[in-house]
This record gives sequence, structure tokens and C-alpha cells, in this order.
Amino acid sequence: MSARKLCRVGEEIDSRLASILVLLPIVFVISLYLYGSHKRHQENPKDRMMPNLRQIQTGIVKTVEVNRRTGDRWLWKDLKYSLRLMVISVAITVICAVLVGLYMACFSAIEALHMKFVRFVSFIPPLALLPLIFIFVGTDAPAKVLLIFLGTYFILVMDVFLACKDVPKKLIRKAYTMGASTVEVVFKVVLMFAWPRILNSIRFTLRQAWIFLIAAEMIASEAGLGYRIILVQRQIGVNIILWYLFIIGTIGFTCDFILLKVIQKYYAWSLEK
Amino acid sequence: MPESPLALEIKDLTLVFEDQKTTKVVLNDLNLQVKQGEFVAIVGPSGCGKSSLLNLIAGFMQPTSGQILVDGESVEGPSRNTGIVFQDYTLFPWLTVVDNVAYGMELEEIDFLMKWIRPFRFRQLHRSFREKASHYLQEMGLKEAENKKPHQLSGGMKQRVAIAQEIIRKPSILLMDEPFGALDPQTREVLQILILKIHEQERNTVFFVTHDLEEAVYVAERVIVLSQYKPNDNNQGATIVKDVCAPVFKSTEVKRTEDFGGLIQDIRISGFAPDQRDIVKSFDRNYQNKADKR
Repeated sequence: MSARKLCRVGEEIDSRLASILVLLPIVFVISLYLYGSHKRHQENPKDRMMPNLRQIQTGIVKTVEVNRRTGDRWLWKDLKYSLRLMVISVAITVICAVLVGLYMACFSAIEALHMKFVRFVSFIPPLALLPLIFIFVGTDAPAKVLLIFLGTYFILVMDVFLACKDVPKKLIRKAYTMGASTVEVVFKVVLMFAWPRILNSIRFTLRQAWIFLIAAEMIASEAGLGYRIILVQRQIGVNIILWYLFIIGTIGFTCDFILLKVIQKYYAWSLEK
Repeated sequence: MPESPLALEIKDLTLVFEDQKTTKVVLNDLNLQVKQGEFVAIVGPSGCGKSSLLNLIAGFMQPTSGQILVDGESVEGPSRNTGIVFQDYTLFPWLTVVDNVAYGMELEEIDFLMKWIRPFRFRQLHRSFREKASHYLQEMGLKEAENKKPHQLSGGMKQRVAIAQEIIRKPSILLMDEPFGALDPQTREVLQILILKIHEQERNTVFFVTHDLEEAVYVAERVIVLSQYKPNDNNQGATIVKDVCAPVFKSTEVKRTEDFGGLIQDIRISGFAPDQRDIVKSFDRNYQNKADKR
């Protein structure tokens, strides 16, 4: 491939070059880190700020095997706690936002009822509401679900609303002349048409949900990925922190990847313009 | 009782668009009767209210005054009596072609909750609709596209599926809103022949809106010209300026312009297109006014 072609706007590149380019930043960051870590260990072999591979390995083993003091496996406990919270809160958010957004787009009365309110509230940063949540709901799991809900619902509901508003009027009219009832138009035409775009919005919602989950766990919790990160910070357990960051990244990336593949495979029509 | 029942009857129809500042009369005192099995084309310059008329018949809009009867029943809102084919967005993109054609029957016959309440009955009906649709597609020469999604089809194919989707439901009146407007000339001609063929077989009532006079004269048995009397006066509203019988072509005949060229000339003169000189004059006048104000 010529250099000139690479510089042209909108030009495709071949897949081998693309995969090299994908790996490049990853390799760069890892080797930079390993180099820095190596340098620090030359000065002080017990350095904990930039742990080398062996220290990271001990960190990983520590989180996976049964802990002598607490008597449980940290990683499983944290994963179970965080993922459960995540699934519950995202499920609640998605169900509420999809139903409300859909009805808002279909019926002007519901739009009038909800729209201005949503737009106002969406400007309040959810973390600013945290003290109120702690005061009224406490610091247990419901408080975290509520925080994630507040942090993601208002964005998702607007996205769903816009996606459903984009359904061509002609399609709705056609469905009506075909004898569809209003319920059928809402669920079998508008929702079906907007669904791929809603799935895409859910991908971004997941990202938001992680932010608020980790934040909530860091502030008040008895388990969870965010909780562990804050806990080991006191003993400068950078090795465990790095390992946990990697896990959070992997889970997030996998969910995102699966959703993207689902959209590409089953909703290819929505990607065509 | 009239001899031949009317598929469509329009009585003293007026449509006025009003907003805070302006009132615009779109359609003015329109009267029209369409017999069952008739193929009627509505032509007129763009912006004369053809599509508004179609929306009124389909029940998407309510007239300011007057009445529309489809099959003797007053139109209150969208109903299954009318089928509609638009220029675009006529298919459900998430369904395959065969499901698209079956969807009309499905929406009509199957209750929203039947899938869960009576799954066996649902599956049985669903299968029978699909079979029917598949059979119909075969007749229309779309068999090989059956399991494709609309985005994988060409414009002409899409429109053929859209027509199949409506014909299979056998609506009392089929409304077509410039259905071939976005197609290239060759495909357009193929589809014109197709729609003629379907009409020969089914004898369904078709209400065909187009701005292409030639197309109108070729496909329809009756051509109605909708126009505004005075091109300078916007507030007049459009009415029917000509209602003529067109020569009947068979789908097997080759379309030749000289067969209906005279009629086209005749319609043109009757006010299909506003007189060019009038437009120039009105433009000059507007321009002059604006220049004076400055």
C-alpha cells in the first residue's frame, strides 16, 4: 500500500496492516511500563509503585486463592458482588428507559409529561446526589443501584426517545393502513425499527454504569471491584490494582464487543444507509 | 342503487392549512367519484396538493370540510380498506421479503398477544400466511429474493415487494404516491407494465398519484388533472381542471408516445403546467417589490 493512499481521506486499508496498527499502542504501553518498572527495580528491588511481572503474578494468586485472614477468595467475592449489582441496575435502567422513551416518542402527552423534567434533571451530576442517596437510602446495595440508575437512565431515555422519533412516519402510517392496532404500531413497528439503535445506546450506557458502580463501591461498600481497589491502595498494592483494572476493562470490552457483534449480525439492515 | 358501486366518493372537499400567520387553501371544493375496478391517475404540478389528497383518502389527515367515502363508508382515520404504496420507506427493514409480504395479513389477523396466549394457533396462522406470501412472490418473479432483507434489494425490487405486500391484502382501494418516482427509466417501465398486468388480473381500484403526465396517461384508464386556476394567486387552492378517459393499454402492448401524444398536448394546454410567462411575470413583480422596499 502506497503512502499516498494512506493519506487519502476515507481510504480503506488492508486487514493485516490494520491488525498491526491495533496491536501497536498495546505493545507500546506494556513495554514502556515494563521498562519503567525494570529501571525502578534496579534502584530498589522491593519497589511496589511499579510492580514487575513477578509481583503482579503474586498479586493475582493472592486474589484467586483463599485468603487466610478473611477466609474467602477475594476475586470471586468481588466479581459476584459487582456483577450482580451491575446486572440488576442495568436491567432496571434499560427496561424503564426503553418503555418510557418509546412511549414518549409515540405519544405527545407522555412527552410533555416527562421531557422537560428529564432534561432538567439530566443536568444534575448524579454524584452530587450521592449524599442525598446515602441519607435517604443508606449505603447498601439499593443505594448503589439507585446511583447507577440515576447516572444512566436520563441519558438512555433521551437516546431511546430520539431513536424512536426517527422512525419514518410513512412506515407507521403504512402499518396503520395494514390494520395494526396502536399497541402493535408501538411494539411491532416503532420499537422494532429503533431497536438496533437502542442496543447501541445500551453499549454506551454500560460504560456509564461501570463509572458509577466503581465510584459507589469506592465510597461505601463491603465488597466489589471498586472496594478492593480502594482497600489495597492503603498498602500500595499496585499489583492488585493493575490486575483489577485489567479485569474491569476485559468485562467492559467483552460486553461491548458482544453487543456490537449482535448488532452487526442480526441487525445488519440498520447499518446500511 | 347506482349501477356500478363506487369505490371512492369525494364530496365538496376543502383542505386549509392554517398557522398563526398564514392560511393556505390547498384543496378547494373537490368532487370526485371513482368506480370499483377503475384505474385513476391524479396528475398535477408539484405542490398542488396531490399528496395531501392522497393523505386525506388514506385517513392520515382530516379535511377542513367535505366528506370522503371509501366503499360507502366515511373515512375517519387510517383503515385496512386502503392500501398504500409510497415512493420510499415502504418496507419493514427488519423482516425478510416473504415476512414483509405476510406482515400485512399478520397485523390484520393476529392479535398482539396471540403469540404467547395461543402459540399453536399463532404458528399455524403464521405458517399459512408465509406460504401464501411465498406463492404470491413466485407469481411476481421474486422467488429468489424471498429470504433477503429489503436493504439487499434494488429500488425496483423493493417497490415490487411493496406492491405485492398491498395487493395480497386485497384492499378496496390501492393508493400509490408517486411509486416509481425514484426509479430509473427502464425499471420504471417494467413496473408500469407490472402494475397494468396486476390490474388486468385483479381489477382492483387504483388511485395513482404522479407528476409525470406520460406515466399517468399510459397506466391509467382515467386521468384527473389537479391544478390551481391562477398560478399567481396562492390562496386559491387546487381543484380538478380536467377529467378525461385515457386510451386503455394492455400490459402486452408496447408503449408508444404517438398513441397518446395528442391527449398529453391537450392536457398540457388545459393548465397542467402554469403558463411559463405568468411565472416569469410574477417573479419579476416580486423582485421589483423587494427592490423597491430596499
